Amino acid sequence: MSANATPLRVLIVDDEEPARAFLRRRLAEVGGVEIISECPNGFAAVKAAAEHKPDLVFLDIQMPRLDGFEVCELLGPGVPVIFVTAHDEHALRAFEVAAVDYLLKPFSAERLRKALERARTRIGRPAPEILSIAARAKPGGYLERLVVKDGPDIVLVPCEKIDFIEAQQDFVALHTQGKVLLKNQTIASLEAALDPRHFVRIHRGSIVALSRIAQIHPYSKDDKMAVLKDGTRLPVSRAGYKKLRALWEEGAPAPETGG
Amino acid sequence: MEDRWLQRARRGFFLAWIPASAGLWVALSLAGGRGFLQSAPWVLGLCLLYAWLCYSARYLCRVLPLRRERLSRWLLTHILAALLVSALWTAVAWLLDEGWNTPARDWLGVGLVWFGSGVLLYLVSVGFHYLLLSLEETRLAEQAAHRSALLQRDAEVRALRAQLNPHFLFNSLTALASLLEEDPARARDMCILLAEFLRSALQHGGRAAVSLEEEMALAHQYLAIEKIRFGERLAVEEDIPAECRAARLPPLLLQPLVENAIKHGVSQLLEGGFVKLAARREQGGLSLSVENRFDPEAAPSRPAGMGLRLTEQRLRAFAGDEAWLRVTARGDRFTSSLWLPDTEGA
Repeated sequence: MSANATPLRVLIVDDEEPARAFLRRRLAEVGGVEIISECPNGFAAVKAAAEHKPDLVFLDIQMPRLDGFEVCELLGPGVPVIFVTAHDEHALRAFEVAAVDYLLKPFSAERLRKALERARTRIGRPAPEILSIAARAKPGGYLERLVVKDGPDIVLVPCEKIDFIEAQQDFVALHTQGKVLLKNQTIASLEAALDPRHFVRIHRGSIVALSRIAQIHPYSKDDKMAVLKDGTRLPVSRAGYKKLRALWEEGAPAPETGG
Repeated sequence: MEDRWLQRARRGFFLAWIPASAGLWVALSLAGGRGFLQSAPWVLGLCLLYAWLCYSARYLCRVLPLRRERLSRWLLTHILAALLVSALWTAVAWLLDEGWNTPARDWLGVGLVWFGSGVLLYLVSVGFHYLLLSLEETRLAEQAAHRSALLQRDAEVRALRAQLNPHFLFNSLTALASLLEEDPARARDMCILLAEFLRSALQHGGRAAVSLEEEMALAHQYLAIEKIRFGERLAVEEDIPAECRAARLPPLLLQPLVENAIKHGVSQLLEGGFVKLAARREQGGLSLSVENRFDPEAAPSRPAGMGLRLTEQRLRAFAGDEAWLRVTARGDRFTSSLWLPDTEGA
């Protein structure tokens, strides 16, 4: 069946050599697949994916520095991913980031064949909408860091280093200690993924870290202006101000409010 | 649970007053005073009052534990209390009986019955309270012993389950499946390692104490398996002097620390890392440390492990409160170290 189809060009990403060897052999058994590269970590995977444009990526979840979910996010929704992991604790999250399939190591050739069939039906169709990057966080938790592609580099941004975030069309600009990083993401999905005790959507176009606000000034009839510790001025909508007030009433340290 | 037991004892105490008041009723009728039937309600009422007073003696008993060195003071207090409470009771009986209408000599017999039985009943109650208090104490001690035994067993079960960490097991099986095709001889070795490791983990789990040598053998088996998975990325160093090898420690104590060192160390490091096991004889005991390289930026929040707390609890349950376990992170080095005093042939 797979003999007359064009071979799928796949990428294998796993930090353990025996696991890569296992997958390599199973893929050879099933056939119809061309392994274009094997990567021992997420950084190599993102680079290889950009270079080779694979049809499908086999992705381990527990890996050093960048985990499978972060790699998946960096690859973007256009690259079909099959997660390959030793344990089923991540299955729900894998489903939420719209993975093609979820294989539990070690698996049979039969199980792999099914996963490949599923991948073939996915390829060529428009990529499914990923619910939100919030799905990447552990159930009941929030993201602890963001992963951003900065030119050829991958930057890990711990959330506590973020000062504020601005929406810019299809991107968001992360302002971290004077540096600006662009991430391909909507501000709404980012808002859902960040801890609401520390990050507040103060306006349609901005999210601010609560601890960075130095002052709040009245600005117009409805709006106010937040002055951050680094001097940046950001507009605060009425709804945004309400959220800030609610947090301060819960005990978050409040800045001066002018006028 | 405790409450129900106390409630039952209290019910028993008050029920015992039924025969007591009946006896008193008969004694009073014989001593003269009111008629047999007439006196029933007020004898019953007064006995109720007195039962309550005697029950309150429980609080006095609680603050005055029975000790040999303070026996005279103890006796004096209770005798005085008995005289006082009984006098009070007799006075109430006199008032209720309208004693002023009775010639003093006629009431004397009745009064003596009241007073005498009052003293006696009070002292009997005091005896009852001491019995109850000592029973309660034994019961609490039993409960505490039971709890610590449960804690111990719980720790064993959890330690054992930690060995069967699903990631470890399934990743090892994957490595095994891959070796079967590539290198059957190494696959066979890995099978043996895995079997030996699981067997010793199970055996250790059921024992009260193991030697450091045995615990190290387990760690070797574990690390040998992990070495197959991680290959060159994992380096193992060891510094265990011969004089430490016979030291006794609770089973599977070192194992979770070694596992942590892998989980937060080499498995998070792109370029790999080491695990170093060291032991020393120090201050009349044994020092152990597990050191590993880790990536300080890898995990923004490293959950202060439930497993570590459990290990510390087990260590203390085994070697007493002097023993300690602490973890330190300095630069890219993470160290778990512990110390326990020597135990005699445990």
